[in-house]
Amino acid sequence: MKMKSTRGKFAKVLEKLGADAPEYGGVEHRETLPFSGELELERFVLDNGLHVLLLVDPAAPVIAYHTWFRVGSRHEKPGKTGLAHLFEHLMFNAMEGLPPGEFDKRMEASGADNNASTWLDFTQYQEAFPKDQLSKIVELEALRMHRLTLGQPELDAEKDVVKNERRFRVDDDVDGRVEELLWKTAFEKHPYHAPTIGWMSDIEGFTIEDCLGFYRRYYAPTNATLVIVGDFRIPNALGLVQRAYGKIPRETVPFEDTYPEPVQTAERRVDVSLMASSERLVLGYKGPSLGDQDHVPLSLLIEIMTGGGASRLPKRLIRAEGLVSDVRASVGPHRDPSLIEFSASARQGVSAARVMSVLEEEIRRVLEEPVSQAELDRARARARLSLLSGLETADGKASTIGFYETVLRRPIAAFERLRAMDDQEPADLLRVARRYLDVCSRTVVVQTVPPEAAVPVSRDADPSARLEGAA
Amino acid sequence: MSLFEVDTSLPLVAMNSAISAGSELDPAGKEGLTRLTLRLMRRTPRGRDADQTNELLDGLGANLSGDVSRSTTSFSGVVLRENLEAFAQVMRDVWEAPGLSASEFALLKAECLAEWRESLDNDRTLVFRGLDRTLYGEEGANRAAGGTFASLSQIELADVEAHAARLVQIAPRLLAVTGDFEPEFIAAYAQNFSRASSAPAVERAPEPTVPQGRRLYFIDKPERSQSQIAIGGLGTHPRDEDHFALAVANTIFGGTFTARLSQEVRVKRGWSYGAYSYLSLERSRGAFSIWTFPEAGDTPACIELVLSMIERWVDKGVSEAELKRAKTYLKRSHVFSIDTASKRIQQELDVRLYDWPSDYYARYLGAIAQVSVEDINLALRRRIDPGALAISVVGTASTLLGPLQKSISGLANTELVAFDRPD
Repeated sequence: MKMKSTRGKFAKVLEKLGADAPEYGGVEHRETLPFSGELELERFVLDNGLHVLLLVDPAAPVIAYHTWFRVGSRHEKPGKTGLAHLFEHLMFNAMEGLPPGEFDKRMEASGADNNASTWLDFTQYQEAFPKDQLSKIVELEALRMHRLTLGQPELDAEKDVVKNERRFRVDDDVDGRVEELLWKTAFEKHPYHAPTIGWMSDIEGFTIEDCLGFYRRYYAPTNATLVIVGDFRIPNALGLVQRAYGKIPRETVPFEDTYPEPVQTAERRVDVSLMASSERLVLGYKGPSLGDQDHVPLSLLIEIMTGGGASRLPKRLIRAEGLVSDVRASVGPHRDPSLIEFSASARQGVSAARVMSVLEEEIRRVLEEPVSQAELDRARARARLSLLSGLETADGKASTIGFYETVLRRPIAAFERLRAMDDQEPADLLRVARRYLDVCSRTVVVQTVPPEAAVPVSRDADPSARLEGAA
Repeated sequence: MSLFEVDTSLPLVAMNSAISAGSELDPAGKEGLTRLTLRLMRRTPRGRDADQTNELLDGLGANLSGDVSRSTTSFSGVVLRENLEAFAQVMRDVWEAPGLSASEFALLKAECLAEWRESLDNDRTLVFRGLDRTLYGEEGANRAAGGTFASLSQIELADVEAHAARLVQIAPRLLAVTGDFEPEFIAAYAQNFSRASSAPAVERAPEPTVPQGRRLYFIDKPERSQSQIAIGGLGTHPRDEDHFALAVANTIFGGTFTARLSQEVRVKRGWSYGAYSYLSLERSRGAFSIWTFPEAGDTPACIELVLSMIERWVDKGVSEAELKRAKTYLKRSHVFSIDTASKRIQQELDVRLYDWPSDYYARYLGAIAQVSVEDINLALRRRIDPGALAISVVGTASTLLGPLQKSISGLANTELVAFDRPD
């Protein structure tokens, strides 16, 4: 009998499941959490450490099924960057009993829309499918969690695919190049230094042993959370999960061997010349982790600075002074402290230095005086709209739950953050601005354009009369 | 005319208002006029400037954007439930009371030109711009909705004022609303939203035609480690009897990850991160297109492979096993076309906007189920001409153009343009 605590509303369900449990498939109900509206999120844990988050939402006859692993590019070592991402690709290949290609064929036969992604702190796999296909998807996902096989031809082809993905996202993309340079420069010791897609030379060097070693270390039930959202019955879903995943032994995931980033005490600056239509500028200030209480007021501050058409930087840089075609900012949503980023694409003929001077003026402004109550109210309204808009589909709900569960271990943290936003005052935003927007903690990447690449500007053709130093 | 569906699962309301005319209205030499006009209308409802409008919308917890396709023009947005009334007023005002001030026009025009220049950095945008140009030519109603640098430069405030006056007269103006609202409120609102028009009917462009031969449009950009490739021809119209057969054929060829294209280009050879084909739907006959992006050195072989696959597809057709797999996938995944209220309403809106058969979506599953191998093979031979394809490439001409011209059999002509001079 594998059953554990059977108290509460799932006592009968767990009792029944306990009678049929496979070796590692005992199920415990851990908590019930309020979600949006009438919906409730239930957390169950299997004996092998797999967490299962279930949200019944009968709005449409579909189910979203996400598997989130607490492994990302932060777990990689120098010389082996990009392994988490390459491995994500390989997870669509052969499994015991399924030749290469068969996994995807079966997914499509179920009408499933499936995908995956890897970032600094996580790797996630997702499917959305008609509700009557749940049992097939559970079987397939459980199979690839512990029965993946790798062949050299598949690895070689997938390395080529990833190299092409890198060319697409980074090497031939100006924004991708600049972004990669920013993080590489801002972080010297912490693994956020390396891009999730990996350095090209590292991608080329991966072996089957590298990949299988990574699989054995990190793709264990105890390092994963299943998130199932949609039109299903909890006893049925739990039974399917128990039968499929309860066969997988509990494994110990290696401790994380990373070092915190040392405090940055002086500004870092990189100049790069790239073939592009205009100059660009990216600033990265060292910021808090997603779980830090300062993250919420900083997010509101960034919303006030760049969050919409009425925010400060677009108003001034795009409209009033016509210096840039685009300006954005963000606070890194990561497990460890990362970057508060500002980026701007100068209009043609405008220098990055000119944009920088205005950007600095605006940053000084938030250091010197509190934001207005009206700005704060608008930022809150935008944040609420953004969260709710992301919850329209089962897939959107599963993504929100899985992300916060994996990074913070708090699957409803999106709603907690929204409530925390209501408690913030202009003084809180002033405090975090002064704490984090410090020149000494920032890294600046300035991208210029080689003279031969400059696109000539016809002043006659442009009535704005705002172009500076036309080539 | 209004469509609405109450959905109280989230405290949001989505609104979409649209007319059945788009960039086809742009005068020759002033391409981009409809889009620029719509953007100015969005910024200046009831005489506000853009900052005032943005502050109003952000304060409501709302977003509102304008969109222009070849044959539709629309405003759409989402608002927090409690602010619906104020948002609905803005939605009405962008149509009925745009300020169109000279100062806002000058700022917007400069922004549009700056955005156009920045788009030169996006190779995917460039390759599809090249495909449209090669497929449809530079004349007629199929020119780019965003315009060109030269055409945007030619647009003056008087053009925009006249065009806004024309857009607001076009009827019917359709309204679609979904979300958490009181039906009585929207019913009353809708009564005054759409109005009768005395404006002349929009003159529709003739169906596009495709020239014979394979045509290469090469957009030269230095230092490319990778090429962007788009290949295409004309597809079908929802009214065509072989429309659903071609839709299934496209699923088999390049519509999914296990389709022929992705398997040959990505899985077997590792040549590209993605390789897919598409069938677009429009008021007139839509396009059939393919997109992939191999490493520069693999580009000639990749294009040669894709062209030979198209030839084989049309010549040999598809198998029963492929048909069965595609039908199963299309049948089961169909639920994701209708899993939210906004998607369901959008389908009804599209049918009206594009003048498709009224039962187009209602009969979709049944029509797919009836498609046979023979239907597909006939549709392929009728609609896809492997000898008359537009091939658009973004790459570095000094190393790539020669080998490419040699590898494309039946190449009728080549047009070489600098990436920063596509005008």
